[in-house]
Amino acid sequence: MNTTWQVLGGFLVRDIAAFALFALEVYFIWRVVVPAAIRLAYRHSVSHHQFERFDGSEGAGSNDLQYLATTYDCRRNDLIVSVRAPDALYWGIGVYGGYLRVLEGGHHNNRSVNIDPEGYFHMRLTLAPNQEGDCLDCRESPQGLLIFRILCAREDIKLPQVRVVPQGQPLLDVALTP
Amino acid sequence: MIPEMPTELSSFLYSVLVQAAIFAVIFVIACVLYLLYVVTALWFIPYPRWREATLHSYLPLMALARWGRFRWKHPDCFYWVLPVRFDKGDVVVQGIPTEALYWNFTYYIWTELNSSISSENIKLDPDGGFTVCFGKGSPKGGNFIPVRQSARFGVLYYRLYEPAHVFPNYLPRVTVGGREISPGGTL
Repeated sequence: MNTTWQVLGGFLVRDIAAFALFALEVYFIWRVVVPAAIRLAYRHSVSHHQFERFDGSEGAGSNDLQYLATTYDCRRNDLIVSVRAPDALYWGIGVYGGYLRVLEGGHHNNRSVNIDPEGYFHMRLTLAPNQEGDCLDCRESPQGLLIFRILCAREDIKLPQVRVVPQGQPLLDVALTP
Repeated sequence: MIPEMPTELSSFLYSVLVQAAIFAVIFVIACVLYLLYVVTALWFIPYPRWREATLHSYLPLMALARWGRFRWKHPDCFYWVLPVRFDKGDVVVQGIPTEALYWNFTYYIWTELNSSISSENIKLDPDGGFTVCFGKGSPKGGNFIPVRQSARFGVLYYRLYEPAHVFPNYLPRVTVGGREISPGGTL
């Protein structure tokens, strides 16, 4: 009897340890390997801190939409994206993390941004989103993809300008109008 | 001099590693079985229904493509999808306009860009409804979306921007080669 319990106990300890190791592997793959692989994949096709146009043919896009995208990294600095607000039925700008899903607090659209008297809007990508102006919260993923989508544009869309600024630098101190 | 690990401990660690590897293999097999289940469910259910593409996980090939390239769902857009076959005849979509800022119909085989018809350019029937035809031949009707000649399987996309409700107020009826595959109606 005593031996049976010893054998069963040994199996139990071994299985619990093995399952913990397996769970750790899965967690590591999901939290580290998958986002890194996805970042690596789109880093090869999307410019860093510089918007490019995409026709949507690689992502089940729509021909009524224009897609402008860049990768971002705001681990040490804030980014300020400036562009003239497009004349369009709808537009939105958002940050997408390691799983290519939009981040919490990381999306604005034509109804939610402030547009200055010259017709521009300025969006700050930051790890400290409680600042003046419009911010995209990147705390969940300090590196990722920034996508600007314009639906049914009525004019040619210019590429937004991306500026790297020190964290927390007030908008007024940044030369805003491109 | 490196001290030797006690034999009992090393054999225990070895057995733990083997067991963890077995768990990993079981996990991979379960994932493969799940993918097979999804593929089977997708193509062999006799009457598929519109479903919301919350995570684009309805089509494993498309999901895999998006993991490797672009895979996302935008927070301001709703996608309703319906798997169809394009080799069984024209795909005809009949419905009524839904309350949204914008909506459109298109199709995908993979993640390519195809023609679409939207609320901005659709031609409505006299009764206020619409009929959209996806086909490989010459255009039929005012709302015709040409489908690639090589297309066999695909997914219809009903894309809605800023809908007035959480769900479309009416999902359209879909027929393939005259056979109804989704009856349409309210949710």
